Amino acid sequence: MTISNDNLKPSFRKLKGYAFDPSLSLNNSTSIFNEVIYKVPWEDLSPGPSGQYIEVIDYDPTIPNGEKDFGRFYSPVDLNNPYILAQDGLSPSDSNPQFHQQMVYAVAMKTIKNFEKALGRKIIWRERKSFMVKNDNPHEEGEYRKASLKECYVEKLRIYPHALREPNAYYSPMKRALLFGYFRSTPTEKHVHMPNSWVFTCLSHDIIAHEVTHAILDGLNKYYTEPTNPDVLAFHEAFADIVALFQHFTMPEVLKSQIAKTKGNLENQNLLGQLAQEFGNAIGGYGSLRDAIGKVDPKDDQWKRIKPDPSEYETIYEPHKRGAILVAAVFDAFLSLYKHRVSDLMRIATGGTGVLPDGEIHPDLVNRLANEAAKTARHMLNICIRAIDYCPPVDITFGEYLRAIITADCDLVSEDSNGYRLAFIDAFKRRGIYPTGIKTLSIDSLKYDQLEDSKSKRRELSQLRTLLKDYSLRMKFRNERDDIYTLTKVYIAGDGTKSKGLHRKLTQLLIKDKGFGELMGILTAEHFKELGINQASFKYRDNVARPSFAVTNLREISRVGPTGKKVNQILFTVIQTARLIVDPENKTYRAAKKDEEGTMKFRGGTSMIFDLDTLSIKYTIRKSIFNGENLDNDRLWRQYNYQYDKEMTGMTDMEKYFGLTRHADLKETFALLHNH
Amino acid sequence: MNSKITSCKVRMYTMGTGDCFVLSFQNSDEQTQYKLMIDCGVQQISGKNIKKYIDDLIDHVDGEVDALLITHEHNDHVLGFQRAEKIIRDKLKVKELWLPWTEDEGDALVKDWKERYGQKKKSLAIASSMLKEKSETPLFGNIYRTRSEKDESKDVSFKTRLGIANSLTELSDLNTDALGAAGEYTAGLKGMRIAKSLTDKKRILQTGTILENLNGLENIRIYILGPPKNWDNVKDEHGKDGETYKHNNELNIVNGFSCLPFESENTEAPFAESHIDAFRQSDKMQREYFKEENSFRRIDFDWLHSAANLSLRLTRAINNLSAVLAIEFIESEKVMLFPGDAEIGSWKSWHEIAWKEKGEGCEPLLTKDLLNRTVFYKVAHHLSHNGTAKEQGMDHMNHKDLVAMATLDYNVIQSNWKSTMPNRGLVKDLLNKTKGRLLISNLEELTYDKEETRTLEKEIESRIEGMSEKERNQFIANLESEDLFIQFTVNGKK
Repeated sequence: MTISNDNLKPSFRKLKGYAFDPSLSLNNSTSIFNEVIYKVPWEDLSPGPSGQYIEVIDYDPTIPNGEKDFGRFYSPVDLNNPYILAQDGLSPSDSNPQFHQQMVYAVAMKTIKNFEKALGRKIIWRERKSFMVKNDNPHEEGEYRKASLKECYVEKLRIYPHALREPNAYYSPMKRALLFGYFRSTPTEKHVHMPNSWVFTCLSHDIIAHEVTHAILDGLNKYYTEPTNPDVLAFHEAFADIVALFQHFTMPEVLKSQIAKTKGNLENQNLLGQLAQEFGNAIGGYGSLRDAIGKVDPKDDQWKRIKPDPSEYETIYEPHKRGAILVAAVFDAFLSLYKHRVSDLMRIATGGTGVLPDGEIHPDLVNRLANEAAKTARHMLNICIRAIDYCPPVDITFGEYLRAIITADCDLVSEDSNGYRLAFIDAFKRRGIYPTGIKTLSIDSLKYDQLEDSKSKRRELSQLRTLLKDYSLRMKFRNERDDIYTLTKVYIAGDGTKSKGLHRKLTQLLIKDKGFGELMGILTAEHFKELGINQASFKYRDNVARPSFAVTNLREISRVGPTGKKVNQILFTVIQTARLIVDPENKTYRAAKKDEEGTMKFRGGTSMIFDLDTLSIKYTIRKSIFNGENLDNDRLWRQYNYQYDKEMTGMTDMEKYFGLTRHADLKETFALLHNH
Repeated sequence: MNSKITSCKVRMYTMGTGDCFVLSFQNSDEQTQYKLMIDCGVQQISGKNIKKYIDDLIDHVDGEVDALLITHEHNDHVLGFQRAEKIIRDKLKVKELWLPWTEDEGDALVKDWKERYGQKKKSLAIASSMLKEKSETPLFGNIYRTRSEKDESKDVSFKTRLGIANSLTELSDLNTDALGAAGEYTAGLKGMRIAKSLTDKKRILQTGTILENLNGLENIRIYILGPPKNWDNVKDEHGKDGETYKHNNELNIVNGFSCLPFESENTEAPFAESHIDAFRQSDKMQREYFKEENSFRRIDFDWLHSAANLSLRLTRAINNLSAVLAIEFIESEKVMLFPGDAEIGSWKSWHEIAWKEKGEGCEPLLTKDLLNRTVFYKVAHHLSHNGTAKEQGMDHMNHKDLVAMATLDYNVIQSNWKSTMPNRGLVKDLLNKTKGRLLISNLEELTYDKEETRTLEKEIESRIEGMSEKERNQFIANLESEDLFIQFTVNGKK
């Protein structure tokens, strides 16, 4: 009897890699846990590696190739090579580019899978507008021709492990690609790092996870790359750091070593709360690039815990530094939860005195503590990721993220027996991060209100209900991402024949029912043209003018909470954009002409969450463009003052000298370090 | 004979954004006893346009200066020597050349460092010219265009890209000469080389020392405040026991971040040859990379943008290597401050200098005392945001007679400098402290307020009107403003 090949297919591919980065392998105390095995879901791979989600292309453009040309390819690794398969991938090595390719692949896939688990859906990269389309005209030469802008699916995120010659790495939203740099080190401390040795950013778990998270978040919400207030880009950075940090806790060897080292007190200096060790050292800093708990005081070289300082949120604007405030808040919440959860273990271990005896703690205790830490970290990571769905789709602030965290958690976990929510609120409060527009800082007021039945179960919405239900049925057994993308597009825009699509449905509802516009956060005022909002191009019989809006991010979500509670929902966002020419002197604005120079985009939008179990709209999380019958002037001027800030508060010299203003729409905003 | 210096005529040539000063030190009978020229540069100027300024200068100094100080090697401080080389060589006699200690080529450390520094400049010159050249190719368009060519004017993203290439060229031009015809790089700025060849007599200014009893400079003492003296930090890439980089963040950056592969003959490949794949059509990954539809994902030129960082670092580092002079009238203790283009890192270091004590029982002199007694301030770095330190600088300058002079001209300036010059906060401070006695090469286009509704010219006028009549008359009497220069006579009497 033969067993079919399919039954033999493994669930995982094991790949060796660094837990942190090569520098920790040079140190006796850290080398033992620095080489780990990444378990990533099995998928068919071609050399590169190139799989379903990512393609690693190892093109190094910085090396001369002949007289005037630059660029060369490094041989792509074939992870299906039997010898490589048999030893769980290539062994860690900084001099073998094929291992570099394997490392970026392993960490990127691990990060992607963490997201999919938390979100309850597949990751899809940000779609792209292209003016190149397949040439179907036989009279024209070339495979592609230029046409008007059209949205298209981006199947794979591209990763270039050796793209730059500088201490930097970034996600390029334009290229849908990660670019990693390499450079020669100039370390502060010679004994930690060999001077003038090569440092590859693509060998750092933290840097890879950080950059992949940028790409994933950009796919979840493309408007978070638009700096409409000081929090937006900072949020992107913070979120990327948070994911990288909590991934440290998924590596048991690392976790145990750090628990043992700190005797269970993770508030002391440890690797778990630090990012990019080698990079930080190699550019002449003290220790890691960033640290969520403390930092080394250059005066006496002592590591000290950072005290929360509420004034920072008011004064720090550079995205990485501002993001660090949010990271510290989240990590703080984690630490207090962890402390709470291990308090009983500590009591047992210390006989109630709270004082541990000198020397090492018992390995059993290490294991138990590590378990608690891992569990808490896993929950934290899930909560932080899920909250994204509950954020307003544009112009996000830290305070709104806190509200989203609380709402998302209430939605999935009925009873918060471990006090997660309060821990978050407390940590945010201590850093002066308050959401606007709520009266008290309680869970109840932070949580977004569920829609009342009278609104969500209205009869007028029956067609919408049918459409969304239909969408969910069609999505049920679809696992191919391109399939999901294509079908979702059809459900948004219609297929041009009998099926009408969500956008059309919503428009009809808007005409019939003014209240629905308010619910959706869409401005239906008659004078919207003066407000810079385009008129929809298609005509209806009624000849009533109506504003245009976009429907994005239609996705089906199915999640299981830690207590087994299931959530089946459909998420979609509506976005409305006013294109304005602003006159700051007279505090007025007018509608911009098409492509007019100096146009400011002012957006509003709502995240709609539709519950499939009750077939009703559950949440409408709004950041509307309007306020009554007019644009939200307060927010509009805040955005204007920030984007066109003549004083350029918080901008780096790089941005100042090279004209990278906040309204320039360069779409290249995610350098690992802005502030050289 | 009346040789005691009691006043100084400071003449600022208004060629554009860039420094060219002549200081005429005079006795109480207004006879010039000593002529000090400081720098001769501007961001860009043609040989034809500069002639009238240099003619006037030579005429003004009667064909001879006692000393010429070159503060630092940037074209906005030395380009004049290149553009007007012939007239200067023929008609200007320089008796002595003053240079900061970082130009002391006899010092082995300086030599070693200059070499490495030259490599960075070379990298910058090559990378910026490469990026500029590539930015004009069709491939560059294919990669960065977000709209088709016919919509180029609306393609903000693409235009910003081209802007970066241009800005980079400008910054490179400030630091380096253009590449030779064969694309080769020649070390050092031509203007600097010419200036150095004007005389064999050189005086190296050692930071922390005081020039006294110079011939013709009776009653004058010159304190050398910069460039910073922590040479070890600059030189030593590796640091001593983790000590390096602690003090002066602004200087060490020159050594860090070797980023571009043009620095040596051997281009420094990170991997062995055996890992390299030849270009071939059959390779799937390579095909993906070169596919026309995937042009937007190509990374052929992104790495050249690293030069943007390098250019900023170099510019700042060289600014900080500016010679900084505090010129004191001994009797009245009044001070004139000429900081070149020193930026914040340099300002900080001045306060660390331990000046020798004035005498038995005297309090040691502190740098902040010099700042406090400053009556004339040549504004560093064209009124930029970090050209003048606030806490370590401006806040100490409280003399009631303070006058400030700055070289800034929007008609002759790098396009992107406009975003940082003038810094509004600094201008405001200066206007408050000088009561309006702020002299700028060219006020055209400059505005005072954030909303850009009030011109700086208007603001200065109204401040001057607000002065007491006596003060105003005194100021106007000492001021001479001509087509080619602005001149102010600093009164050095008690």
